[in-house]
Amino acid sequence: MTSTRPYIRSMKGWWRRHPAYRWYLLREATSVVIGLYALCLLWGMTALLLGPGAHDVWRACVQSLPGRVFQLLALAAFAWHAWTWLRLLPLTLAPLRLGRHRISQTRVHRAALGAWALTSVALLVAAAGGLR
Amino acid sequence: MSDTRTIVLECLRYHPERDEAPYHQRFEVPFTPEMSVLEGLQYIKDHLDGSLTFRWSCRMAVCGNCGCMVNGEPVLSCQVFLRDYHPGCVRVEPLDHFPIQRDLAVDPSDFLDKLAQVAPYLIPDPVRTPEDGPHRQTPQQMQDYLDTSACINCLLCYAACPQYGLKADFLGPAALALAHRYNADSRDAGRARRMEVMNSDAGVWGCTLVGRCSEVCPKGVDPAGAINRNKPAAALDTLRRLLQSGRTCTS
Repeated sequence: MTSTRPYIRSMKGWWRRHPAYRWYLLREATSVVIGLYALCLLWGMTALLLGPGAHDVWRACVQSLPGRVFQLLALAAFAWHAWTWLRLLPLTLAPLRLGRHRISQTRVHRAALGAWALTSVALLVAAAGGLR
Repeated sequence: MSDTRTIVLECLRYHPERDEAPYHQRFEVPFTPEMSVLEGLQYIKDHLDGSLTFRWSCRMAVCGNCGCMVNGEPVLSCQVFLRDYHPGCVRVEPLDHFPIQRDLAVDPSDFLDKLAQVAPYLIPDPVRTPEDGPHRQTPQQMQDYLDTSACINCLLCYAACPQYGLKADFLGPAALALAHRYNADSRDAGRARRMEVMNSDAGVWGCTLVGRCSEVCPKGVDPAGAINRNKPAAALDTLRRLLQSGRTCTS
């Protein structure tokens, strides 16, 4: 069976074809917010170098209402990106074994989530200590 | 036949000598609880429209021929049952991302070309002949590739991968998973040869880890995992080449 005129379908609107594609795009889009937050921190570091006046301007910006909304958005983006990235982590690792048994992907995911939670709490405690 | 009910199968039709573009055609199909979607298609061909074209062979999820989109999901049509869609309608379309040859049959040539590029066979070093006897490995060594060796080339993973649809030169999930299968085999020495194709934009770096390929695989292969486990090796290969070219420049 040969056809001289095969029909090529368009990829237009491909993300509408399955919810998994939309979740994937959301995961990738969080990288943009995270990138912008990194730039914001870089601005803060540069302001520290430039002196008290520049640092006060940066602080006023991040403490303003739009600045706070942006930070909340960045926090949500970080959390979602970390959650989805850690869910995919087992796919990027060689199969882990405990003795002769392979450790399931679910266990690797849970262990990574636990490590993430512990690290976040440790950082929060350290930051709170530094503020005092 | 008291268990017989009726369901609507909406099939994508395209006859290149007659149609400018594909269209959907509805068929009312009587079915019993044990009937698969493939059997529904066979009923249409036998009783309603003999011109309906689709591929099938084993009817037991082994040959990988009957893959198609059922209500937007890439599935083996012999593995899904009409009862699970009743009373709704079953929309049957050719596998996404492949050119439609006729009705539900796609042209898999692109996949076959790409599969050949990754040399999906053992490349022993030194070369062995039948006189050398069996090429042995331990059960533990076999475990390293066993899951990826279950691939039946059904192409469901390609239909689930938007990167394959968007990026024409991407080797795709099954070809890369099979490259991993042979790289992971203790009897093989072809890793360097395969790395040339794997470590390219069309190879492992073309995968953005959507992850749907592993979800739809009817044999439990994990192509997304196989591809992404090769990214560190591909990165090391790039580094090795850079160091080698640096040495060549300085000497």
